[in-house]
Amino acid sequence: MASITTTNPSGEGWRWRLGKLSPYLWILPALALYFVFKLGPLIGGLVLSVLRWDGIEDPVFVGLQNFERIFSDDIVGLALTHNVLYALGTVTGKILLALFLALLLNQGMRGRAFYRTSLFMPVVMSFVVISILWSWLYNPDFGLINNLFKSLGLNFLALNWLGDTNIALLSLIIVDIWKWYGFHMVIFLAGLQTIPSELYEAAKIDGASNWQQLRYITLPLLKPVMIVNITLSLAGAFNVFDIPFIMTQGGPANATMVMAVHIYLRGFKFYRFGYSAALNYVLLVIVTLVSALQLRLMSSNDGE
Amino acid sequence: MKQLSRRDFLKATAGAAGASLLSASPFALNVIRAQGDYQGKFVIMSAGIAEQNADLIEGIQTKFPGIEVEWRGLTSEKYVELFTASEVAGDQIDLMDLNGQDLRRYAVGGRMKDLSSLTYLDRFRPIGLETYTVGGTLWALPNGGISGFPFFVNRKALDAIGFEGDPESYQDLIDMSPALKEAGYAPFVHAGQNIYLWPIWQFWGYAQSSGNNAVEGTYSVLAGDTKFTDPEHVAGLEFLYRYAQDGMFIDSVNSLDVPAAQLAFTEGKGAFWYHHSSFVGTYRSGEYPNLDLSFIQPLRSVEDTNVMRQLPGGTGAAVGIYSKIAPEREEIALAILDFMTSDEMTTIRNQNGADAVSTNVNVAPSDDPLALRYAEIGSPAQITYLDWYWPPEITRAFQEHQQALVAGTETPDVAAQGIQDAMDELYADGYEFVS
Repeated sequence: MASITTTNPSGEGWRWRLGKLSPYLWILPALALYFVFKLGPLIGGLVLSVLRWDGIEDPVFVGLQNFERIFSDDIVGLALTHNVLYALGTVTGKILLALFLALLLNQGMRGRAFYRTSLFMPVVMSFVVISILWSWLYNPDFGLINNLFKSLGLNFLALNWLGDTNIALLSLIIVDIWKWYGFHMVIFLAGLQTIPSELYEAAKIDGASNWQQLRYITLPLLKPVMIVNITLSLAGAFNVFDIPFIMTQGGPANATMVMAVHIYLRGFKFYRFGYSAALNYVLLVIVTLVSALQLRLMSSNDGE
Repeated sequence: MKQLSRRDFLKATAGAAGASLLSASPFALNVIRAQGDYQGKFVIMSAGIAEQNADLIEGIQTKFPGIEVEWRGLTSEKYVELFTASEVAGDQIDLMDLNGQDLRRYAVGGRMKDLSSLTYLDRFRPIGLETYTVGGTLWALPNGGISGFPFFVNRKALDAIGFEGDPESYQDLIDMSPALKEAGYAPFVHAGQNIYLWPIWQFWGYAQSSGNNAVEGTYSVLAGDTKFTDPEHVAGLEFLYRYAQDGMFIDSVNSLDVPAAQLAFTEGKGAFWYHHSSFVGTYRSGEYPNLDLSFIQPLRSVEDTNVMRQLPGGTGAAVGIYSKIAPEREEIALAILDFMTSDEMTTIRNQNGADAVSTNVNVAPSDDPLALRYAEIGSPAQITYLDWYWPPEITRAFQEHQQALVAGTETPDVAAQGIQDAMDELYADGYEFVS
């Protein structure tokens, strides 16, 4: 059978080919960015993880030595523990707070747009600005938080927020929740918009209370959105760097050391770029497994 | 003669315009300039920020017209990682204005040019040249002030409790601390959140516990002849531990960064502050009604009164030329290095920093009373910062374990063992100390 491209003298052939190619051409810029800023470094990091390189001498191939070293690195276990605690704290805090606010803001009320915008503001603020701001808020002597507690006669709540090894991590968790709850709130709001109002009307007619409506209508139908929010939150908790690095640098006495800070220090303070890359890949595997497990658990009760 | 068509005329004028633009473009200019005296961007990677070196930057650009200085203030704490990132990214790097702590790494790593054959070395005090000589080669020139970390004192705090004169020993501090606390002063303020600043406590502590042989002892431990778990090193850690256990630090010590610690001290929350002598310049340029600044040598923590109360210090910034500098900029780099370390520019630097002693022999010190006091009691008691010899893993080990000592989560012997473990790991990786 003759091909259109060779038999049609009016040029329909190249147009046909262009038509086939055009979807790929449209996504080519995004693909190029993805390759340059995601895939490329991913592959480059894998290569680096099997080398010993201090940024000055020539790199030396060491096989899996960098990965073996991880098992004897005391800080890795400590940092991972902190990441798990951080995840538990921030995911719980963000999801509960975001859901609560989304339910509140889904009501018809005056100034709803203003509230939604205001509550979203921390999301668009720079991590550095937020970290410095909260460092001063937490200052035990001059900070607003302790001075507020003292002025209310609640001196027992005026704590050494970033200097006490027992509560420093909790202090960072609070900052993270404050930074991101607005983001998750917006996602929940979008999910709430998709729930048909007829369901609530029918439930009211059947005499369902607000709590019953929440439990039997809202929450089940919000499940897909919940999965998204928890997945994003979990991944963020295991990758957290900015807040602990700027506010505590992993201290005091490693009380807020997390994997990303540990990786950064190994690479840029101790010049062990190969080991740092290996740590990064271990973290990638951990985050992938945790996310996969979470998705499986939450999807396993789907009726589909 | 053939008449030009409109198309031909437009082509010709477009071509001429394009050629003119190209010849005026930076690319073309640099190509031309590469064959003669360099003019254009000149990058200085500095541990100091541009605002504090505005006079110097202006001076360079005035002295060398056509040179546009790009001053990158990386800060001491982040110098290594930011420099590494720039180098890996292939950024232009010409001069390095380092904290002396990082010189050894870059010298041993072949990142700096040999400056041993410069003809004007007699401009500098020998101590500075000796400090920046590694493996028999001079890698950087000393620039600025010979400065260090004394114990700053707020005399208003001592006046408030009726203490006259200067305290000399830790026991003096213990004796005065109840009265200080009652008067609203914590005995000591320190920027404990900034992990970078904890090792300075070991510098003065070990100087005393080693019988003023801290540098020799450091050489010995890094060479593997002694260990960080030996009594003299543990004793240095013990001093810091006692400060924390005896309640000498402000409660918020581990949550204070440098600005917060400065605020606490200048607002009269603390009687003493262990910080760099350059704070004198800040004190002079600001208004601090709650502060009457003075300083002393670190308090004696050993029984033997023959042991000097030494304080850690350095011999100015280490200024050198990046070993991979572009050939066309090497000549201008040498000229700028000469200018930066000249008596003229060093005088300005010393005045701005209220330095007591200059790195340059012929530069008179600042006439600030505190600078004169530092010249009298500070610089004669100075020893080089020990982390100028330590590998970065040991520096970090000290930082972490000292912070743990203050937080009360470790004891000195445990901290010392942790530091020695870090050293043992380095030996296993093939570490060799180059003196």
